[in-house]
Parts: sequence; structure tokens; C-alpha cells
Amino acid sequence: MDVPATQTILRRLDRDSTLPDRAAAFLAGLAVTVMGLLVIAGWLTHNRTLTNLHPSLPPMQFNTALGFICCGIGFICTFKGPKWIIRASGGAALAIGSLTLFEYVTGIDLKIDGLLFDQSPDPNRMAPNTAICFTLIGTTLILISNNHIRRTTFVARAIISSTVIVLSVAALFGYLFHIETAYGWGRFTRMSVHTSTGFLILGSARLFLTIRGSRRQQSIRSMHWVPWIAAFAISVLSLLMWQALQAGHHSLDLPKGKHSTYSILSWVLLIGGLLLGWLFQITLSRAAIARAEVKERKLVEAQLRETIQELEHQKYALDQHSIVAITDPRGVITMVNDQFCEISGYSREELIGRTHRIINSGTHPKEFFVALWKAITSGQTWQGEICNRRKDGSLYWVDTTIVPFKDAEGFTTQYVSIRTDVTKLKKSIEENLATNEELRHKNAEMEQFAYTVSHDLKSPLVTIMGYIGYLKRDIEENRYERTDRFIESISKASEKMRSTIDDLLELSRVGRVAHDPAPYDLNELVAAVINDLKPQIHELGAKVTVASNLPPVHGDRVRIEQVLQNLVANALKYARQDDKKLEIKLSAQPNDDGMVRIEVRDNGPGIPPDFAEKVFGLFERLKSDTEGTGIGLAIVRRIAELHGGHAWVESNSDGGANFIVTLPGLEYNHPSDPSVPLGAQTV
Amino acid sequence: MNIEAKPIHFLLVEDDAAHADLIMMSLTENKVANTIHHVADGMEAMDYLMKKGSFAQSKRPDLILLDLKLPKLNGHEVLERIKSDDDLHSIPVVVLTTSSHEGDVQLAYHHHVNSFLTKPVDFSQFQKMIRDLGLYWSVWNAPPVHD
Repeated sequence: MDVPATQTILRRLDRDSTLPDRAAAFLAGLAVTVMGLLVIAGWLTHNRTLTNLHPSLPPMQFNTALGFICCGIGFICTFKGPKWIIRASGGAALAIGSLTLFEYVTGIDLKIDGLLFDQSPDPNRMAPNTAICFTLIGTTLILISNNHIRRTTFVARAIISSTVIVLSVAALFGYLFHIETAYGWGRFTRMSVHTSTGFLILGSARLFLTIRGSRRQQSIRSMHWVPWIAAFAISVLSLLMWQALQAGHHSLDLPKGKHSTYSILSWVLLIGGLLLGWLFQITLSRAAIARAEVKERKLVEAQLRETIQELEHQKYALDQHSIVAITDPRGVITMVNDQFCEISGYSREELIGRTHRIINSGTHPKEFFVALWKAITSGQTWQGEICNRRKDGSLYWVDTTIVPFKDAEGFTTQYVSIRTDVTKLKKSIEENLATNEELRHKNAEMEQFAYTVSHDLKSPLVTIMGYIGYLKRDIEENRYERTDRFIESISKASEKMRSTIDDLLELSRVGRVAHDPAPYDLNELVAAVINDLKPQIHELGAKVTVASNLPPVHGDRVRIEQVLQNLVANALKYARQDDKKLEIKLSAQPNDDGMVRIEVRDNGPGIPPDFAEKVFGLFERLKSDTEGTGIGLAIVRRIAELHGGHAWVESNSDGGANFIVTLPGLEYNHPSDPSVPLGAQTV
Repeated sequence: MNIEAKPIHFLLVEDDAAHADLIMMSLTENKVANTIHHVADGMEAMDYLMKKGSFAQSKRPDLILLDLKLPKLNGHEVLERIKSDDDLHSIPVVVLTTSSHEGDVQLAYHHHVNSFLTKPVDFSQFQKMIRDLGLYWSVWNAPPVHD
């Protein structure tokens, strides 16, 4: 909803709240206007019933009827109409009332009483109490239009209205109890019954409007004047009645006993009235205070309800996001939310009454928790990451904030802990670190690779160019005795270059998956490799023994064959030069960790411990005169590592070398989500 | 040339037989060295210098031409051993290798190499370099005095 629309509605509501006031004013105004018109009609048609109601009663004066019409218009316009009409009609009523009073007080006849209509032989002048009432009502109408009204204005209006009411009620009482002095003062004209009724209506309506208006603008607390007005009205009424009775019994020719009764009655009435007024004030004040208190309490309750609801919403939101627990000062859990139960795997019943030791993972040293307790017992909020253990034994990490709460005396009442599950975050950070480390490793390897490649490719080039240079010079000088040797060297160097390039290609292929990892019968793979190497084995007269019942392996078939091929070929390459027959033994057995340990044992020259690591490096050769580029063992290690295994060399008792490679067996528990999938790595 | 070449003995440490052949041919043709001894790996080089085993009667070289990529004991290790040896450290060592890797150069100088040369692929440059090398060390350079 937009702002202007809201304001319109608020204004309408505000106007609606004044509807009863305006309706009351309208009805009261209508009633007295009609009455005034009827009385004027009565005077014009000489209808005594309209002017006097009853022949025995005094009539409503013509001017009085006019005054009522003025007041009536003013009241009607309060409902809806221009303010100037209200003020004008109020002014007219004030003029009629005050001028008449002026006549009474000064004795000067302003000729206003029979100005519009001569009622003679009846006296034309309205009663003095009537004149007072018009003066008062007229004044309130003139003062009607101030937008913001101060409290004193309300009080003044209330006093004026209640005076009008009291005067009219006193007159009505006089008619009711036949006390003429109550409605007729001295020898002046009397206030008629309908005049009294009219003023009662106008006074009541005015008072009603005043109180309602005041309540709209001011708090109940600041309206303590209302009971005082009531007390004032009752007191004035009793004073008027006392005065009427006092005046009445002096004018009456009563027997002696009656006189004293009359007098006592008047005094009883005065004292009773004053007491009643006082009691009224006290009672009303108390009631007002009580009502104000009730209203305030309701307001506070409503605010409290709102606050509670807001807190509930926040708690709900917190419960949706966080793992929340509350413990007593000793650390005993008193409350856990659903998230706590969910992540820990414990039910609420299992957790309440226990300490957090129930989810202690044992990951953190004792000092960690000592520091934590030291912080929170000293009133500090503790923040950090804690590793906890679920009921099923698995671990989870939570980012934790523990807030201690203390009572007025400074004693800790409870600790509230709010946690967020950061297990995934932790894991991804760790994985990132691992990946970074791996990348660093790869970079270093890459550098080494580039260096080696440049050297190993450049080296034969130097040879080739050198010999070609000599050849050219020899040809120029017609020398040919070295030609064959030079050409032989050139072709050897070219051949070396070719095989280096082949090996580099091979190494780059190792990282790629040839076949998806699958279980293979190692016996078959070994047999195939030995078969391929038969010519070399035969040539060297070597003896190759393969153990029976080799356990199955799990991996990429082509790569595993490559490992076996390189290991056996390596043993053959470095075959001993003496007469002793080369023996190669191949065996394999499953390890406890699910890996298969493959061992290729030879009785060759062996590898000095200093070179045990070196031989697995790129382009490393132990002997300068052996064939090959020194890439085979690097490939073996790379394949083993890509399969999650390893490759290394040990010396054996025969003086030869034991090359050992571990590869996954069938029982090997493959990581379900390897951060770097097999084959994704390249050289 | 007014200045007479001094008689000079070279130790060539080179695993690549063809390279060794080329270097020796060049040295001989340019009459740079009077005598050259060639060894094919780092161990052999150390044995020669320490006069071990069959090298008991070996002659102390006036200059060592050292390749870096050697089997068993690489050029850096050989250099380090020579330069940390009280007796051998005064022998000038010239690294002659295919590598022009910055790390190798740095490491070689760290081990107090006397000169670092990269084998040129171009034949004439190769020839010139070997000739200049010989000229420098045999003619211009004053060798250390050995007791």
C-alpha cells in the first residue's frame, strides 16, 4: 500500500471516530431548533399549548425560542458545515443572552425583549438563568474552531457545559418537586420546562463532545479533571437546590413545624450534595486511574506479546540455520535444538543431562578445551572451530560461538552455544591445499622435465652437427678414412634422438587412461609380458621364474603391462657382464591395506643405496654405455602412483636389485570421490 | 704469437662418447692441449683425481673440462668435491655442458667453478669455442703454482 492511500484511510478512520460526537451535536441541534420553531409558531398563532405546554406553566419566551434556533443551527453545523456559521450562530446566542443579562444587571431596557414579537400582556424578557445559559452556550460555539485545543480549554468548556446542565436540571427539579424558586429567580420571569429540557440537551451534548474531544487528544492520565467537573456539577446543583429551598420556604406562608422541616431538608440536601460530589470525584478519579492502568497494562501486554513473537521468529530462524545448545554452569546440557540432534545423531533424551563430552572427537588436545573453559568462565565469548564425533563415530566440524550469561550477582547461569556445520567447507579447504601441493609438485616436475628434455635432445644434435662439420671439411680436403666412423656416430646420435622422442611420447601417454580401471588376472598379464620379451631373454640366456597364483590386480591393463614390461626389461638391460647366468624372479602377494605387492628380483649388479631414488628420475642412467634413455623406471613409478601405489628398489642378498611396485588389489578400497580422477593428470 | 704456449694436461669428464670424441678432435687439431685424459663418469673422474686404483700413476691435470649430466656422480657433485678438497681446489674447472639452465649456472658458480661454457650446436662455433678455450687456458692464463 502506498503512503497517500494509507493517509487517506487514516483520515477517514479519524473522521469516523468523531462520528458519534458529530451525530450527537446534530441531533441535539435538530431537537432544539425544531423546538424553537414550534414555540415561535405557537406565539405567531397564539397557540398556548406550543408556547406554555400547559396553561399552568410559564411559557418559553420568543427570544428564548430564537436563541434555541441560533444554538441549534450552530450545533447542526458542527456535524458538517462551515465554521463561520457555527461562530455566527454562537455569536447570535451570546448576544441574546448577554444583552438580556445586561438589562437585568443594569435595569436598562434595551428594547430587545419584544423587538421581533410583542407578547404583551406577558412579560417579553427571558428568564435570567436562561440568559446565562445562552451566554455560556454561545461562548462555547464561538470558541469551537481551534484545531489543537489545550487542556485548559477543555476544562473551561466542561465547566461551561456542566453549568448549563446544572441550571437546567435545577429548573427541572423545581418543576418536578414544585419548588418554584428552583426555576424562577425572585420576581423575574421563569425558565419554562421546555427551555430547561432544551438546555439539558445542549449542555449534555456539549459536555459529551468536550470529553470525547479531550480523550482523542490527551491521554487518560491527563484527564483527571473530569471527576472534578462531576463533583463541581453536583456541588453547584446541591447549592442551587439549597438556595431554592431557602428562598422558597421564606416566601411561603408555612406553619412553624413545616418551616424547620423545610430548613433541615435544605441543609441535608446541601451537605448531602456536597458529600456526594466529593465521593463522586473520588470514585470517578479512582475509576479513571484504574481504567488508565488497565489500558496501559493492555498496551504493555500487547508490546510484550509482540516482543515475544519477534523473539520466537528469531529463534525459529536461528534454529533453521544453526546448531544450538544451552548448558548449565557445569556444562551439563539443558537444551538442544533439532539441528543439534540431527547432526550429532543423538536424540534429545540422550543429550539432555549429559555434557559435551558425549560428542568429543578426541581431535583436540586437552589444552584446547582448557583455554575454551578459561575464556567462558571469565565471561568472555569464545569462538572457534571444533571437531565433534557423531553417534555413529563419524566426525564433523562446527564453527562455534559460546556465550556465557550471568545473573545480577555475576554468577554464570548458562552457556549458549551456536554452531554452524563447516565440515564441507573444511574438506574443500583441505582438498584445495592438497590440490595446490599437487600442482606445486607437478610444476617442479614439469620444470625438471623441460630441462631434461632440452638437454637430452640437444646433446645428440651437438654430436650430429659436429660430425657433419668434420665430414664437410674432410670431403673438402679429400680425406675419407674417418668418414665411416663419423657417419656411424651421426646415425647413433639420430637413433638416440628418435628413441628419446619416443620415450617422451610414451611418458606423456602414461597419464592418459587407456582402459577404465578393472580387475585383471595378474598371472595372465605377466605371461603376456614375458612372452613379448622372449627374444631378449633368450639372447641373454636369462632365467625368468614367475611365482604361481599371483593375486588379481585392479587398474588399467595397458599401464599394468607397461609396469611389468619395464621392470623385466630393466633387469635384462643391466644384466651382469660376467659368466653368471642372469636370474629374474617375479612374485606378488596381497598386502594388508588391499594393495598387491609385486616384486621383480634379479641377481644383476644391483643398485647402490645412494642411487635407489635416483634411478626413478627422468633420463637417469646408471651406466653411460647402456642402451635406453633412462625413462623406463620413471614410467613405472608414475603409473604406480597414478594407481594409488608406489615403486621403489631394495638390494637383495644376491647383490642384485629387488624392484617393488604396489598396485590396487580387488579388496582395495577405492576412494569414492577422488579429488583428481585417474587419468586426469598429464605429465 | 710471441707468447709461447705452456705444455698443458687436460682432464675431460664426459659421458657421451661422441661428444668426448668431438671435443678431443677439436683440442688436438687446434694444438691446444698436449695431453688429454678422458673419463666417462663422475666416479671415474674422482678416482682419477684422487689417484685411486688404476689411476695411481695419473697426472695432475692443469684444467678439468667437466660435463654436468654424468652417471653415478653428476658434474655438480664432482665440482663440489674438487672445490672442497684442499689439494684439488686450485685446479681450474671449466664446465662444458649442453645445459644453459640458469639453475645450473648458479649452482656451478656457487661451487666455485672457474668458467661455465655451453656447447654450441653450430660446428664452426663449437670449433672456435674449443680453440679459444685452449688458447685462453694455455697461453693467456697463468696457472696456479702447485708444490
